[in-house]
Parts: sequence; C-alpha cells; structure tokens
Amino acid sequence: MNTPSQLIDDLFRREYARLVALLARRAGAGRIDLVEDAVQDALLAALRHWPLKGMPERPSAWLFAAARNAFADRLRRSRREGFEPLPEFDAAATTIDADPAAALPHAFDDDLLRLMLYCCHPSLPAEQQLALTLRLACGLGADEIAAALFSTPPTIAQRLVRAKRRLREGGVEFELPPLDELVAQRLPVVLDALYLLFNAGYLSAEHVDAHRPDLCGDALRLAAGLASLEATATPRTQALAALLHLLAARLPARRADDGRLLRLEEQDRARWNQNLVAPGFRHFVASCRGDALTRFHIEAAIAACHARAATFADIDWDEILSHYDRLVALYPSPSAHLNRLIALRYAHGPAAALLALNASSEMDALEGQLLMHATRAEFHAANGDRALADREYRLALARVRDPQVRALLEARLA
Amino acid sequence: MPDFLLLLRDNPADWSKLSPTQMQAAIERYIAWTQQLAERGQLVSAEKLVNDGGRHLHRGKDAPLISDGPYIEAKDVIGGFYVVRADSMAQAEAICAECPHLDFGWIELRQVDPMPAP
Repeated sequence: MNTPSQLIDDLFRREYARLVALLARRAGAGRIDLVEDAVQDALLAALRHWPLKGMPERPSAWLFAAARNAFADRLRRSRREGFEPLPEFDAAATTIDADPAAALPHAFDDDLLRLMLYCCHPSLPAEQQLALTLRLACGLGADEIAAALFSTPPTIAQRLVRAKRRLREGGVEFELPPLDELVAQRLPVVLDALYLLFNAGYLSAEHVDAHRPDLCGDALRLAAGLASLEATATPRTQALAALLHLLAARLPARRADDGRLLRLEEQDRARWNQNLVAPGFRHFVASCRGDALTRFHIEAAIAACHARAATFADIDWDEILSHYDRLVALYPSPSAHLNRLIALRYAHGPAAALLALNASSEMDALEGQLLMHATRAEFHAANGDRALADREYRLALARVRDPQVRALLEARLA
Repeated sequence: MPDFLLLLRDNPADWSKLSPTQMQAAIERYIAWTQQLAERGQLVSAEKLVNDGGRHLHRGKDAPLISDGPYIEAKDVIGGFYVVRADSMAQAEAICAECPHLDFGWIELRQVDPMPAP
C-alpha cells in the first residue's frame, strides 16, 4: 500500500477541466458529450481503484491515462453501435498518445483558453455561458451549479443542454481565433463571465464549508491564468485579476467564526489572505498601461484603497469617492450610484449622503429592495435618526432571505 | 489473529451520479480509513475487481455451462475487497463500521476459517 499523500484541493475539479480541454481539442467540439463522459469515466476509475490500491505517485498522469483509455473505449463503442465516426476520431486517439506533455498538469495553457472561449462564446446568453463555465471549466455537477446560482438542478440541466445545442448548431469549435479577434471580441466576454463567476462564489459562500466548491478561487485562478498568457494579458485582464485577488484577500474577514456576517468596521484585518494582496497589487500595477480605463480598473482601484488601509480608520474615503465618481460617469448603474453614496457617507457624513440619495433618481430601480432599505437605515442611524433607521431596518428585514443577513440587521435594530 | 474478508458491494449506477468534488471527498475518506488500518497493522490486502459480472460456471452435460454474471442491470455488485486482520468478529465489525463504503453501498463481512493444525 502506497503512503497516501494529501490530494490537493479541488484536484478532481481541476483535472475535469484540464482533461475535457485536452480531449475536446482533439475530438472536436461536436463530441463534447462523449468527451465529458470519458473524463467522468476516468474520475470514476480513480474512485474505484485508489481506495483499494492507494493513490498513485502522479495522480494527474494516472487520470490522463484513464481518460485517454476511456475516450478510446467510447469511440470504439460508438463505432460498434453503427455510428459512422469521422476520420479525425482515429487521429484524435493517436495524437493524445503521441503527446507526452498531455500527461502533465499545466498551470494555464492554450487548451484551457480554448475551453474558456468555447464556454463563453458570444452566441450564448450570459446565464448559459456561466452555467457551461461552471460545468466544464470548474467541474461542478448540476446540483452544485444549481446551488451556486440559486436555481434548481432541472433548470440547470436544461440550460446546459440548450447551451451545448446552440454551440453545436453554430458549428463552434475548440479553437483559438486570430489574435485581434481574440483580444477585441472574445476575451472581453470571458472576463465578464469570470466576474460573474466570482460574484456567484461570493454570494453562495453562506457558511464556511470545506466541501463547497471555491468558485471565488476558480475565478481568481482563471483570471490569473489569462493574465499569465502573453496573448491575453491585456490591461483589462490585469485589472480583473487585480480586482479578484484584492476582493478574495479580504473574504476571510467577512464572517465571524460562527458564520455571522460582520460589518466593515468590525472585520478583523489580520484574517486577510496576505498571499493574495501582493499579487493583487502587482496585477494592478500591470493594468495601469495603455489608454483604456475600464470598469475593472476603477473597481480594482477601489479594492486597492481598501487593501492599502491598515485599519478601518485609515481608509481613504475621499479617494474611493473620486473613483466612484469616475465609475458612475463611465458605467452608470443604480448599484454603482448606491455604492458611491455609501462612500460619500464616510467621506462627507451621513447627512450629505441622505441629501444626495433623496435628490437623485439614479437609484429608483432599487427602491423597495433590501439593499436600499438597509442603506437608508445605516445612513439614518449614523445621522442619529433612530426612529427612521429602525423603520428602514424593519422594511429590510421583511425582504431578507439569508439568515446571516437577518442576524446582522436585527443586531442593528435599537 | 484471524483474517476477515470485506466484500465491497454496491450499485454501480450510483457512482456515476457523483460530481468530481464528491468523488474526491469520497476517495479522501477511503484513503484515510485504509491508512489507519495500515498503521495499525490490520490491513492484509486489497483488490479491485473488473467492472463486469465475471462468469458463472456450472456442470453441464458435455461441457461446463459458463454464463456472464449480471452487471449492467445489477443493483448489487462486488466491486472489490479488503482482507483485514482483527482480534475477533466484534473487532472486525467495528472496523467495518468506520468504513466509508457504508455511505455508498454495503459490506459483506466473512471470517477466514484457517485449517486447524494437528
């Protein structure tokens, strides 16, 4: 019996993505279902073998061989079932055998980039892109995707079927487009999907749970991967990588040990993941090239302000406010306006924030929603207006679903 | 100290429903369990069986009757086995009680009966 070593976190999920990318490039996107089945076979083979015979010395190489064999098996079976395979099938099986590098796990390579481009194809609506990314690039099962997106397994299963059908009917392949098309048209879609992926991870991280897939980590890793490839390391990619690193760095401080949500002023900054702060700043510096000032740049600048402050009192709210001024000018949205007002509250005081809130129609779309009531409540409370604050807290509580948010709001009631 | 045979029985279809995350979690649990047995000197051997029903052989008129054991539609198949060493059936049962396989299938536990020495 081998001396077992610890499997690295998310190994199987990452191997799923790596092996799908590897096989799909050679089998063609039209056979994505067969590829997925073969990769699943490989992981299942590990599940049946390793408990009895111990973990192999090189798990990734073992899984690659198992996937290659499973793929060849399924090809043969599909041939026997009267399916006429295209000539490239045999070529597919042989190129995998001939590629010794295929057995090694890659950090982020062209195959994974092709996979991302496939999942985030512009012909798919954003929700299908995200579901397909979660399935193929993050290795989540339908149940896990449903949990991450606050949906149901049948809905997600349908979404995946539709996504793959649309790609098949569109003849979309696993390929790298010409560089200018890649950078100008395809990459931005991928970056937007990674932003949504991070957001899904952020929202679904209700409790610290060792077995809940770390989607923030996935988004971060994929963004960093894109930032490491010369072709895709554009300033906007660097800005997204910076933003996600700096946001993720502060995540461990968001909740107390009992899972309770903490307000910014209560958070213990010693819990920040310093391993992510330094790379975050490096990516931020790298993003400050060229002329483009994108939403990711501004949001990264705001995250950098927070990450630079040693304590809550050290936060430079004036600088954050100036970034938000730029953000709402370039990318106006109700939530951007609201976040700006929260910064304004700390920079100029709650009275000024309330005046601005009541004078503005930019946030009308948010009226009646939890966030708006909670924000008004906080402004009134900071302004010394207890009665109005409690009224807004109660209105917010009427709309709350997350028990941790409920606990936070109830604690704020007088 | 007697040896015991732990036959790992399950429905093959159940495994394919697991996600990669669930599969990894399962493997980690199994490996932790076998590592503990090995450290205590209780693990004698372990083998995985090929994913089919094997063969059933019976005496036939002219030649043995050989048929394929059930697999595709089978709800209960032996996927592999451990041989462990324990003081008693009770201790063997205690070892099985900790085995993660109980969350995925069931275990048939048989005691090896060595031939008595004269």
